[in-house]
Amino acid sequence: MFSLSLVLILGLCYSLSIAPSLTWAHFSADGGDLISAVVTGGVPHSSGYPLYLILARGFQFLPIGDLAFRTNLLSAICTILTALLLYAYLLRQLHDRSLAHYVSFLTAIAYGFAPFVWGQALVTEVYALHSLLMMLCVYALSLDEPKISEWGRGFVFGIAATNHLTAIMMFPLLAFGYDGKLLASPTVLLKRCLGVATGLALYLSLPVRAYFNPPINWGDASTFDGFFWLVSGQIYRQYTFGLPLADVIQRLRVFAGFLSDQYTWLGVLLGVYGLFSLPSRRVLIPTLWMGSVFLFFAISYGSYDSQVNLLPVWLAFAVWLSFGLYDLLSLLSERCKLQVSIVGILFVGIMLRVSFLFSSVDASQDFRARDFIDNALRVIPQSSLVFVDGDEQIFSLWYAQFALNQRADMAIVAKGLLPYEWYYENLQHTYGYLNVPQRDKLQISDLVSANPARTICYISHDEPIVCVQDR
Amino acid sequence: MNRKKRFVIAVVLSIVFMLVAAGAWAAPQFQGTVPPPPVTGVGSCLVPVDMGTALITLLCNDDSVVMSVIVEAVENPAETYVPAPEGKTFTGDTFKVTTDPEDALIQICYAYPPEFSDKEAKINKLNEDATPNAWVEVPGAVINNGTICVTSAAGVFSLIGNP
Repeated sequence: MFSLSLVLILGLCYSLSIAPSLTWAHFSADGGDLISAVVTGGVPHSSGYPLYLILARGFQFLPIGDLAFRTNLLSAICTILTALLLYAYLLRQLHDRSLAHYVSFLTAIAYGFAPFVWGQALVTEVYALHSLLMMLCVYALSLDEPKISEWGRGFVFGIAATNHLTAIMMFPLLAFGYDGKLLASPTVLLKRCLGVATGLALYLSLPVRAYFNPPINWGDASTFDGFFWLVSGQIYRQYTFGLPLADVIQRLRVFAGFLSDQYTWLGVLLGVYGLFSLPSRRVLIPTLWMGSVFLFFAISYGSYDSQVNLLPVWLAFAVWLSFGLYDLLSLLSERCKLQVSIVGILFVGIMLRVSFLFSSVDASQDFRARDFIDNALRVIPQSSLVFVDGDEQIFSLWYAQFALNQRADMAIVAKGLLPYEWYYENLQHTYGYLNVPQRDKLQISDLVSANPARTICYISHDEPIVCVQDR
Repeated sequence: MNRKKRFVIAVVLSIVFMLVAAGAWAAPQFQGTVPPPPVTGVGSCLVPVDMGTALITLLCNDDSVVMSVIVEAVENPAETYVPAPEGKTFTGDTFKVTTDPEDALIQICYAYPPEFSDKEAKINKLNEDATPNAWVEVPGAVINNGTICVTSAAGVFSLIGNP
C-alpha cells in the first residue's frame, strides 16, 4: 500500500509538472545533445553516457509526446524508482516493522519532492538515472549473499559509472567488508573488481557508435586517443578544482541553504540528528562516503551547473533523516496513537509544502527552448553558416536539425568546439556541402573565408541572432 | 552518545547552518558543456571591434561597398604561429583580423601604458609569406594618449617588446 501510494503521489505530481518537450529548465541545457545522440546513434559529450543512451533509446519508441518528452519521462520514472528503492532500503534497515513503514514512506516522499530531485525528474538529463544508480549501489552494499554475489555487487558499481563518470568516486566503498571485518578479503575484492570491469565494458559501445560518423560524435571515440579523451573527460579537466577558494567557501555557505530548501529546517535537524543516530557501520559508511565525496565534487567543480552533482548528497541526507525521525518517534509507545498522528501531520505538511513549491519547480510551462528553435529556424536564411555560442542554443539547434530533421540546409558550428580536431572532421562528415579547411585550431574566419557564398549568422546566449548577407 | 547529546549537537549544527546559509552558488559564467569559445568580435564600417586590450576599426571610404571585419583572440601565439623574435616577448594580446573584402584596411590600436613603452613594445604583424613565418614590426605606428596604433591590411597582429 505504501509503495503504491508513493508511486501514485509522485507520478501524479511529476506528470503535472513535467516538461512537454525540450526544455532549459533545471539545468537541462544538455538535453538537446543527449536526445540527438540517442536518435542518431551518436556519442554525446564526455563521458559518453553509454547506459543512458541505451535506456533513452528504448523510451523513444513510446507512442507518447515528442522525442524530448519521452526522455523527460525516463527521468521521471528513474526518480520514482529511486524513491521506491529508498523506501525498500529503509524498510530493511529500520527494525520495527510498523513504524518503519511510516518513516520510510515519509522519507521517500520527502526525497521525491526535494526541489532539486523533483526538478531533475521533469527534464532530459542523466542525473535522475545517476541518482537511481547511486541508490542501487548503496542498496547492493546492504545485501548479503546469496541475495547478491560479490561479482554482482561490483557489477552494479561498474554499470553506475557508465552513466555518470563521477560514480567512480563510489568505488572505494567496494574495499570495505560489511560483514564484521573492516576490509574485504582479497578474494572478495577480486570478485568485486571483476564485476566492476564487466559493468564498465559498456563503454566499449562508444567506439562502435563513433565508427559510423554520426552527426553527434564528441571526441571521435573510434580511435584510441579519441576514446580516452572522451571517457576520461579531458575537455573538463580545467573545471576540476577550478574555483578560487573564496568561491568554494561561498558554495559551502549556499549548500547550507540548499539543505533547508530540500528538506526544511526541521528536516535538517532530523537529518543531522539521524547522522549521529545511525546504528550500523553498514549504513553509515556508504551514505557518509557518498554524501561527502559528492559534496566535495559539487563545491569544487568549476561549471556553472555543478550543484546538480549534489543529488547523491540529498539521497544520503534522506537516509539520515529517516534514522533521525525513526529514533525520535520510537520514543513514543507503539500503542499510543501519537506516532501515527505525528506521521500524519508530517505527511500533510509535506503535501502542503508541495503545493507551495509547485510553481517554482513546474517545467510544464517552460517554452524557452521551443521558442528559441522556432525563432531561429524562421530568422536564419537558407543555406546559412551559423556560428553558435552557449549550450542551450547549440544543443537546441542540434535537436531541431538532427533529432527532428529540420533545416538540413544550415550548417551549425559550435564555436567552442572549433579548437578540436575531431570537431572539424565531424563538420566535414556532417555537412558534406561545407568547405571545411584543414587547419590546426580551426577558427571562425577560416570557415567564413572558405565559404564565401554562404550567409553568416551568429547566435550567442541571450543575444539577438545576427546574420550578415550579401557578402 | 546518548540521545540528549545527539539532539543538542543536531540543534547546534542546524543553527550554524541557518546562520551561515547565504548567497548564490558561485558559478563562472557560460562555463558549461561546450567550453567557452575563443573570444571573437565582429564589426563593420560603423562598428569598431573592442577586444578589451585593442580596438580594431575598419577604414571604409566607399559607402557602396558592404564591409565587415572579424577579430579573433589567439591564445598562445608562439604555439599557434611562431615564437616572438629572439630577445623579444609577447607583451600584449594577439589577434587574427579578417576583413571582407580581403584588401580592406584596418586600424588597430592597443592600449599602451607606460610599462609597455618602457619595454619598447611595438605592433607586429605575422608575415605569413615568409618561411618560416616571422613577426615583423608594422611601420608608421602612432603613439598618442595611451594607445599605439597602426594602419594595415588584415592579418595577425601582436604587441611584442623587450622582456
